[in-house]
Amino acid sequence: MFKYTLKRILTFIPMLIAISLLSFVISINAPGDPVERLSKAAGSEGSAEQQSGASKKIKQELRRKLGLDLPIFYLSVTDLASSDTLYKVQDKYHKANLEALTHQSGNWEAVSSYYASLLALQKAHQKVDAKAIVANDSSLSLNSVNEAANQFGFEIGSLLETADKYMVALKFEKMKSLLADNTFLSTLEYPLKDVVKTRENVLKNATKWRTYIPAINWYGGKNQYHLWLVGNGKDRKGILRGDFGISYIDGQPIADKIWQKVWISFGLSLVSIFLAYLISIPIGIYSAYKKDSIADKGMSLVLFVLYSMPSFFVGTLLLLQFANPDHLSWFPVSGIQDPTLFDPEWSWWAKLKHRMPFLILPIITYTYGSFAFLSRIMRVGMIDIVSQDYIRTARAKGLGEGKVILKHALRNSLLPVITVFSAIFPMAIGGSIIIEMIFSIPGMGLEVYNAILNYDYPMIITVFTLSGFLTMVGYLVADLLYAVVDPRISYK
Amino acid sequence: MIKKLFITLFVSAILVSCVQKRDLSQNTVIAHITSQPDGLHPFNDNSSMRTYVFQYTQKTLIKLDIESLEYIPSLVKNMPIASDDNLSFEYEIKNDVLWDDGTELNAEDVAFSVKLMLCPLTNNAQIRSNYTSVIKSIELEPNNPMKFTMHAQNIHWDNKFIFSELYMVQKSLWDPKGVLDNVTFADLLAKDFNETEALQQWFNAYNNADNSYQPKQLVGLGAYQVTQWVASQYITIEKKENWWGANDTSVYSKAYPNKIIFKIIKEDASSYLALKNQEIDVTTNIGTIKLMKLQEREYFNNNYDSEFFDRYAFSYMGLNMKPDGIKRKPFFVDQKVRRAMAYLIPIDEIIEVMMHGKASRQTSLISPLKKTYNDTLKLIPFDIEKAKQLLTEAGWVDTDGDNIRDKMINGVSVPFSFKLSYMSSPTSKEIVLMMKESMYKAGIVAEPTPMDFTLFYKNAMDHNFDGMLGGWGGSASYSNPMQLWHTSSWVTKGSNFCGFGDAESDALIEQANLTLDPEVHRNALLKLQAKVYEDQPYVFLYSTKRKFAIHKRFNNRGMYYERPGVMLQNLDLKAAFSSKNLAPTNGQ
Repeated sequence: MFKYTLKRILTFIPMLIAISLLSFVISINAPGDPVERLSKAAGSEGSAEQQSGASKKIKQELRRKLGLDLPIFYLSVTDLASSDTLYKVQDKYHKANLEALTHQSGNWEAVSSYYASLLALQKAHQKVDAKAIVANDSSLSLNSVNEAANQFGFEIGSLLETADKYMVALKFEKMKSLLADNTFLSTLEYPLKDVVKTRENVLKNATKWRTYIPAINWYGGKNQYHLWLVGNGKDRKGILRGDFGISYIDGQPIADKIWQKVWISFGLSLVSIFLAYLISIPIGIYSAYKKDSIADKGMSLVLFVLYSMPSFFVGTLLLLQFANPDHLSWFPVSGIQDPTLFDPEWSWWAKLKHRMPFLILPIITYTYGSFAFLSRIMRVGMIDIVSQDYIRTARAKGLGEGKVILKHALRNSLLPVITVFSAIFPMAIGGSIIIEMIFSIPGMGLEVYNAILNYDYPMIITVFTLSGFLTMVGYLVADLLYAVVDPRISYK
Repeated sequence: MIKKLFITLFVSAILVSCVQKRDLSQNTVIAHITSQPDGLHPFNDNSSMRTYVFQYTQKTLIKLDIESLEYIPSLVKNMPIASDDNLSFEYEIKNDVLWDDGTELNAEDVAFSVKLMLCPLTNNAQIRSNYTSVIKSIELEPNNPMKFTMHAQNIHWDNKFIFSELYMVQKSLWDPKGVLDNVTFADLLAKDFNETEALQQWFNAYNNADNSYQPKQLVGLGAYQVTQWVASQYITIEKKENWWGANDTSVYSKAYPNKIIFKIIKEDASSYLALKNQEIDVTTNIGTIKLMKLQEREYFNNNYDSEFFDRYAFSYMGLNMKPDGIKRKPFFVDQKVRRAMAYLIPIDEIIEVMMHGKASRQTSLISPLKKTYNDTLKLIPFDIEKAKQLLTEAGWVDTDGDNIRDKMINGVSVPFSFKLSYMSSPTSKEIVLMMKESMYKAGIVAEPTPMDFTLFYKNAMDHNFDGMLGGWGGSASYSNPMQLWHTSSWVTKGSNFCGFGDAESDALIEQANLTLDPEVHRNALLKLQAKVYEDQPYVFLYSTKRKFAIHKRFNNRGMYYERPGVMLQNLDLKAAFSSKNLAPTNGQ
């Protein structure tokens, strides 16, 4: 058994690498950009002037700080047409557009020239000074100059994100007509001609065949995954040395954030599973024993009604009934401790005693849903075992019914129940958002939800990886328990 | 036997768990918040919860007085004296403002704090440009350590008030070796800022999360000190002993409660019950319906003062004035059509039905609570006939008898059927349906288009929408119209989503900003409001009221428009309450 356990533990390592890599790739490529989120003060009208140039620089700075300006992995598999330096383009939407254009034409060099000429046009446009133009030519109104310049500027911005041939052609037409109607924009004529020329080059010199040939680009150690794995030798030590990274939301180490919350989620899961088993197993046994009786049918009905009630409904109902001065005010409303009374210096037992009232209602909410399916599994397993020959033999030998059921039948019908038990481990890291929200429990559920909404990659990747690890631990524990419960199962 | 044991255990657990009622004679204020701040670093974080806590633990040189809504001196003797060219502002720091170690606040601390705010290595990307565009340098007075001059980059309305949200930090505590002494203001503001090894190391330590979360590191000049932060549960701040400002008469120097606990309760039903059980003393975050239900209970009204108060945030429907004509059709290019939309939205009905009457209206971009509000502008009433008339005048007529107006645009008959985008939420969905129903009566079809925040915001910036429901936060302090209303904010995909503006409005914005004369500033803003009202890029919808409840065991239960809306430090426990517990009466 020990050798078997060791062998299984050794298989964790390649599995963990695979899980972490998968979660890494998925979260980095998911839509949304943490830098966009971090560099905006959302929802406010703003105070002093914000220039777009400055905010681009700030985003670049943020990207560099977070290591997001590096390629994702040691290598990338693309096609012959694509560039290996595309990761250097900071703007996510520009990058997506360049990828689309390269895929259309198969000629990265031409696309790159087109992009450079667009940026040059944008720079030239930024130099257009409406006030100076109006000062030089009094027949022009500031309104009309601004309007034309702004329209032109917007089209450039739009072109940087458009790959659709028809749209690009339309935008070129619009820009050309703006230039024709507004001679004061003549400084933009040559840059625009350049853009049109490079665009024609992209279309004319398309080498679509290159998109069908795979190519591998090697980036060496300077990539995001390596940074995450082993750190950078300065402020980041890497996951192999226990540094899970820093949260993008608040800069706290991920390990600290998880450690603060995981024990409560795990504790709740553990107690809830323990109670669920304590209640469901006797119910299941009894239902199997009194199969199809009124008691069996009655209990099934009650349990399925409980199962059908969603946890947010039951949680709120419990609060309104038991934490409400209009009805029964037995339990507190929220949190896991009273801020006016709780003392961090208390002993473990004193802390638990203080927290008990806060945890009763959440535990009930967490647990009640499991009764139905656990007791059904127990019932089905038990019915199957009770009809076996050896049970009939045990009865024939004169053993009491209690001994027959609880000593001989129960152990053999535990196998399906143990399978369900393995699910408890990943639940610790996942938590339950609904229950934590209703009861203000500081668990992992809300933390993970928040991380997903805010594209907090380090947290998401860590939770994903830990969840995978705990699932494997759960399966291992379940496998070992099978051997304990049923001697016919052996790993020797 | 086992059953009996189990039942005994269960019953004992319940008995042991019976809740202890809160001791209401304690001089502790429990304030309700819905989420914890993203750190309490003086520079690196930017949530509104952080500002709430900083009211009591940190100080700034000047402050917005939430009673008079004027700026008042806080750590300085007087408001600054401007030079003749309005580019230099002289300040003199009050004497005897002491840090926790007993040393006095002086101009070096101010210069140090400003350097931290301006430095690209501080993690304050969200707000840094607010300061780098205003402050050029801080010049210390050689013979007076309490005097300094702020040199501004340009003449700007914000110049006088720039110190209102810049928290002071102690130089001798954070930089005893003077690492930042070698960095000048010019260096910090230069385009190619040079990061030396020493600076990087210093900032790595300063930006460390411990300086945002560990109570021992969260020091400041305020009367209160953070003593406990239990993640996602509560933050406790306690009154300092021998605080330097104890004898100051200003209301912001009062510190009646011994402790203030910011308790985090996200869920509305739980907050409702917490108020019922008197588990919290102060809230500004309870739901409208919940507060209305509570106000029906006599015991609640016996225990709490509660009110619905106006605030500065507002919601709007934005109309795309400059669609590209390809992806987005030119529905709202004509001002008459936009005005018709304003006549078509039953805003009063929406306020009555969805907000239960607890919201106010405004005519233009500035809140009626501000002195710069243009009160000559009238609210646009709900009038379907008037809307129909305007639409017909704009050329939108139902030519094919399907009850939907249409118009020939570039030789093609276009029906007036547009997409109304909004961020998915149950309330917004209902509001959009009310609007849709109303618009259909005038022959316009609005297609509700819900989407999540990221996509919604991206579409808004790309001007890839017809109409959109949005909202802006606000405060009593000056909101620079540059970001929302200047034409440059449309070109650069800023927050001018609708494409409002022309040379005239741009000039008004610049005039309002680039002056220090209150009359010039106000007049420019009045005219800007009139222009926005006339052009109608937004249909201004409503401003939901803030909900307050403050426990009656305290005196001085003031409620204010400006966030956070309450002054916790001024809540004085009544002598009559300090000796008995309150119990709610049952039933009504």
